[in-house]
Amino acid sequence: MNRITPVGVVVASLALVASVATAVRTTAATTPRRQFDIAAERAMHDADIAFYSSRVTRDPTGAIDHLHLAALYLQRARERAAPADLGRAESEARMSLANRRAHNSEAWHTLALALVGQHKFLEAHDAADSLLSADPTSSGPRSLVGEIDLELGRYLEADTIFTALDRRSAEAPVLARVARWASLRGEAEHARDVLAAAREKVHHQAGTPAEQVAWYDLRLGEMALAQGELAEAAGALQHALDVAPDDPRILLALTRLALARHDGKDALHWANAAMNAGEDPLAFALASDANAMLGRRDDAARMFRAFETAIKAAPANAWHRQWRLELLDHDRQVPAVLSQAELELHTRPDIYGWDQYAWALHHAGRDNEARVAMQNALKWHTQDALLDAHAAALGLPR
Amino acid sequence: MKTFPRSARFGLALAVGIAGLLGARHVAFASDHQDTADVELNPSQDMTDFYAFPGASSDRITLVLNSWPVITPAQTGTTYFDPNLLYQIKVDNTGDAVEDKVFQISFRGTGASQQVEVRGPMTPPVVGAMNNTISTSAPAVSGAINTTLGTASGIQVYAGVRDDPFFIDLEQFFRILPDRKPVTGALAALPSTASASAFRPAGSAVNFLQGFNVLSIVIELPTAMLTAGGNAKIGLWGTISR
Repeated sequence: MNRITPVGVVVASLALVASVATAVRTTAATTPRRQFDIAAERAMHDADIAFYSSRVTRDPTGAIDHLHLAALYLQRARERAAPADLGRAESEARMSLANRRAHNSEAWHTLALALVGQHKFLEAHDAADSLLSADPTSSGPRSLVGEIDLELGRYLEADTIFTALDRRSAEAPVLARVARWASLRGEAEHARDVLAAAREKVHHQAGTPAEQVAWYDLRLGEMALAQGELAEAAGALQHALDVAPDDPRILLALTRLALARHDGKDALHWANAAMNAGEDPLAFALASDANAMLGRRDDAARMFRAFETAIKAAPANAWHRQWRLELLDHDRQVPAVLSQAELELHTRPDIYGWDQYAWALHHAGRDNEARVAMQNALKWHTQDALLDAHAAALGLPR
Repeated sequence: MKTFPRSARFGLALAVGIAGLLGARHVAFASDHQDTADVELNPSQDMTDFYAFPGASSDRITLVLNSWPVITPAQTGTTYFDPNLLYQIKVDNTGDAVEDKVFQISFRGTGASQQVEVRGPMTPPVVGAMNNTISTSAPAVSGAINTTLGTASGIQVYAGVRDDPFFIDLEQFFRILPDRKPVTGALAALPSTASASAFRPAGSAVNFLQGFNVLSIVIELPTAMLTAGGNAKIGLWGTISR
């Protein structure tokens, strides 16, 4: 099998964009940037979690404290790539809604975000629909529904939503989702322009957590990486790193960038940093790739074994697509991944679902079926080096 | 995490406006945390309460203007007054509901070294809610926040973080309002009409604001500095403006 190092694997987690609702106090596009102290923010979030935990113990029948706790867990999950906090956020949001459903739309919002973070997209869509019912005129809820539509491969529904929302005056999270939509439709330049506009808004918005500010640069970097613009990707990721130096998602993106540059030493550095900063098993897989690039076969094998051990802790139907692609690229557990990919298509027939399925078929030696599946992944003309590489391996023109 | 969800806004207006009745042992209060979207998004300009009560001696009065609701203990060390805002306490001592004297409180800098400046009581540079300008007179009291400033016999000032003294069983309030009744969970079985008509009694009630802090401006001074013409009755209110 061809061994392909993905240049950029797009992580579909836009819903983890915050619902930024703070007032814009500075409007100049190039005014000095905010100063960030992400360590202090994290310490505050930990303390606030303890504070609100004691409050929900004191009055478990209330809705507000459960909602605050849910939002704090969600924030911590973003900051530390801690999946357990996503489950806690979901649980607290559900308790808030159980205690009071009326006039509690923010709990629907938080619940939907927590579910998206766990890749429970069908449930997330239901929660987002409830949010939209409670707040039918706002662009935020509509964009959230549209984002989940994108994850579920419901592109026509998403088209309707995002065509109406594609305005620069929209809030940053809405613009980020518009950018994702444009990117999937092959409008790469427009996508980057929109995302850059969102990033400018967030950088001048008081009160936005540093992690969320960094996320916009991370997304710009990932988008550039997917399009093979490595220098641009490096610049954006460096901006993200300046704001959030130990954000595991940024460190993983830097690892992928280094791999794309065939810089094994740099890739190993960032992969090790990602291992220390977060809990995503992908860091082990990328460290394996870096070691392989450096000719360290034993270390590469050891790291990949660590990756496989780590992902065993998660239920197979909850495996991230990146994990599955790593397994396929190492010709590991191909039948299991193929089975999961096929099953997932029933609920998520999106571009990357088809790509994953095609790649699994390819590694299973079923190239004719793989080419048919890959055509489905390519039909929206998404510009992504990963799709290009997979299409090329299957002999499909791009 | 400095803002409540809008659904949880305290649009209660339990007692809008305030009149401090000198000479009587009344504690007048008002509370309106997060009463509009604008102040919810800009908590520094959100005045939660204004209090007036007798001071350390019978001839003194204490005025308290609180702002920035629901500061958690973790946020306390990083929450400061907005140096771009003008905080004012206004005094009507003639019974016409127009201010005759005013305190103007402003802040310099941010962070732990922030300084407060209190001007007044003095004739207002501008009467009314609009076009407020800060007096050019020298501050009567100035100094660091979180410190007791001034003199015990004259004007004493404290500006800084304090525990929010207001109390409300907010979740019970949502049960009193029927449209906020839960539709699932333990409380869902309650009738869709109001499930409560009063706040829970002492011992059962839960003070929602317990543990939260606010930014307080506290001024204590001789009552005679506010009254005029032998009239002991005064009206008091606070404003925060940009």
